[in-house]
Amino acid sequence: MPEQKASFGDWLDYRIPWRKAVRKHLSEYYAPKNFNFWYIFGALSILMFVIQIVSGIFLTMSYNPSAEGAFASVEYIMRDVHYGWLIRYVHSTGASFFFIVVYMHMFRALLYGSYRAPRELIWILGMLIFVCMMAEAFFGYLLPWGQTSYWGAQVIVNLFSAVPVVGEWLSETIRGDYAISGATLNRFFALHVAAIPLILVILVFLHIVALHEVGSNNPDGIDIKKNKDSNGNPLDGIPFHPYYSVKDLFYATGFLILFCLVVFFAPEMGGYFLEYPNYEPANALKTPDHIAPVWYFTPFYAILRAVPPWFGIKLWGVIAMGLSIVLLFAMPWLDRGLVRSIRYRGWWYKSALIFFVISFFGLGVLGVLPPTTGRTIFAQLFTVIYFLFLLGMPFYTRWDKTTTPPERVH
Amino acid sequence: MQRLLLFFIIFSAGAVAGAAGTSGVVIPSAPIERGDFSSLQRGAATFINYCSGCHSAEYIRYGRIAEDLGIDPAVLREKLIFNEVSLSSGIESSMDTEEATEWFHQAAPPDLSLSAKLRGVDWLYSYLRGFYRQEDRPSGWNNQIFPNVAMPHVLADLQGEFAVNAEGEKTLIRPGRLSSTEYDLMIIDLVNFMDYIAEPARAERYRAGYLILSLLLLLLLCTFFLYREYWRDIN
Amino acid sequence: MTEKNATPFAADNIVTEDEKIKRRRLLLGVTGVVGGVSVAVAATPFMSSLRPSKKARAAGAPIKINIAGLKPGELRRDVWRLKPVWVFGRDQEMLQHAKSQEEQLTDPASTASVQPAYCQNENRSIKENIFVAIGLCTHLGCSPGQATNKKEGFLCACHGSRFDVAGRVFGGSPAPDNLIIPPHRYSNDDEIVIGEDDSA
Repeated sequence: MPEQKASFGDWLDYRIPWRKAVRKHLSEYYAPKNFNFWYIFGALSILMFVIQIVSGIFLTMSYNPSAEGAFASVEYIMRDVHYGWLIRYVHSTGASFFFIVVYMHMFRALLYGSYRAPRELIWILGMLIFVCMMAEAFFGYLLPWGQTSYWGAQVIVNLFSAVPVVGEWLSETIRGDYAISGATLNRFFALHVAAIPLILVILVFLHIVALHEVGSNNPDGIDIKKNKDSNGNPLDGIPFHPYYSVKDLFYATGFLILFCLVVFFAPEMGGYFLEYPNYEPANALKTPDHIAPVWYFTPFYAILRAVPPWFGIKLWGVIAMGLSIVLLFAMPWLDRGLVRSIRYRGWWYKSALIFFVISFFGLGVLGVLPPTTGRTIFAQLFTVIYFLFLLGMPFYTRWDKTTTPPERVH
Repeated sequence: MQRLLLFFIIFSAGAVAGAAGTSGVVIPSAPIERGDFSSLQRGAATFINYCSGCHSAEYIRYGRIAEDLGIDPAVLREKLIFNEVSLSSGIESSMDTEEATEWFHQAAPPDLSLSAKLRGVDWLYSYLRGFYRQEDRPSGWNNQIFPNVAMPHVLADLQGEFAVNAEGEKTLIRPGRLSSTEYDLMIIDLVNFMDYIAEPARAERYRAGYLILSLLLLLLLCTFFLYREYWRDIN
Repeated sequence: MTEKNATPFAADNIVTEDEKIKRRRLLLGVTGVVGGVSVAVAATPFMSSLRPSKKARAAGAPIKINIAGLKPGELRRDVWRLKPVWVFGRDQEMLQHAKSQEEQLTDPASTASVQPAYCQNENRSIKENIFVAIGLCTHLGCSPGQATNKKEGFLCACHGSRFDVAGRVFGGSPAPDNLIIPPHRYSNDDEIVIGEDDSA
């Protein structure tokens, strides 16, 4: 046999096992062959994450994180930096699109029971990513230093002052001043561009490692590892690469078309992606007439507002808002159903999920609007449904009349 | 069960619809023609002559206006810029901020670079046509769109003076130098210019958008065939 | 997944493995090219955002320097595109002195140095009594100072490069070339415009 000269790939592989990694995560990662539309959002989330990081790095190069210079530097980016307007619109539109794909990704988990054993850790890591994303979006929203930025941050940071005894101390510590100021802007900038992204990268990495260890769930919610061929590969599985890589590539391109339609032709999205009052520099003396968080926060914000201040304590709303997120972490243990996928669940779970989705959307809409008595009643109703979905889960999932899933995927 | 569901859908839709109708004043849309250079040039002249006396537009440079709107910089300097400012500076107001604050009893006249984004062109169009006489106001003026505004009607000489009665009916009490149509056309040009200075890169954005979208559509076609080709193995 | 079987390509069994590989290679190639172009197009705005901004370019517009009453040996400084611009007054004695030292210069005829064509002459200037240059050493960009004896020209404090009154570098200096001369023109007898000339 002629002696082959070692290639650079061999040289590298001897020192770092890249070929093994490619096999484990791409060419020999067996994913169920029955993935449907809902399964594209994981890949799209990664795409959005990369877009946000790249556009964010370039924005940081021209942005000035100071109370005096922030607003003007955003206009400098929009007008004077070559294609600065594009980079900024990609980042601002990207924030909203990131939440859209992540919400779809999470809804997929609810549909097909992807959070259930043995994928509890994947779900928890995913929820941690979601919480970090909310923090990231919140810190980032202050940076343009417009009126919405300023008063939005003011309202949210003041939530912490509802905590008994240490509240005032806590909110002052977060702000680093008596009100939102340049000091707050600088620390939010540090958290937005360094701390949180770093945590997010680690969490995303762990999320994928955990997924590739136990394998992907599928719309039938059954275990494909039970039926293997003579090579030990799942009969209902196909290698991620090339099958899902080409599929994801196709869907990602379609998704980018939608994304670009917004970036180039409607970046403000009627004031929902970029709010109009934010075109006025922050003014500590004047609150805009109507102040609402960005759309992706509004379901939780509506829960906060819906809870009345019983016994004159405003903390209940904050607790409810916190619980609405914390309870989601517990879903793998709240769900006692016999099957994973909604396809084989009974009408209890199906209707509960429909009600949950309606109340989530309802809360989202109500959170954008200024409160009236009627709206508050609706928000309260939706809040109750939201919590019933989660807290009632151990009961109704057990009462549910499920059907037996097939042995093999459809 | 389904009835209950329907009930909820109808009610949540109702909650949304209830919020849509807000203030009573109907604001017509401003008939501006984006990219119409002669309209934008006339608007620039109006802005620099009438607005920049009190308002700045610090984020738009004279040089950029000349470049984007096809105005010869020498002509711009000769015809429009009266003070000794450089073409590379933004539009500055001729007024000192502290002095202005005192004059108008409230805040200083705001910078107008972004007003078309902040308020919307339709609002600006109606606002600039909505002034009427009200002697008990500090400025002697009020506005139908922006009640109790601090700004006086700077363009009264051109538009004329209006009075508004308790029913909200508007009557002309002193005609101006321009007819009502001429005045509206002037405001359209002005609003068009303010829309331009709020986002000078808009035209470029649309052009780039068409290019990127056509490229992505081509890529979508390629990836679709690739996807179908490989998935033939599976089906 | 039934719709896929209904496509006209369903007769896979008659297509040989060889044809399949060829077809896939072609599709991958085309997608790779279109994808590559898309990535390049997407990267363009990010790369061009690194260039000096429109604001920087507007700030880099031509400047005017007043030269009324410029005396021999006098050095007037201004800033153009964030670089020091020198306007230096010279008399015949200084020019004669420089000429006498010509054999010690690295590039006496300025063939390897950067200047507008109208300044590539013996005195490196439009008018021989006025010398205009960018006041940055061609070695590593420090700004040289005047020599104690003004007719000796300029001396860079960083690494000791020496230039004569026409900005020509002396042999043995670390600087490789003569001082750079920016485009300029005389708008009138008392004023120089730096950053534009009559050649445009």
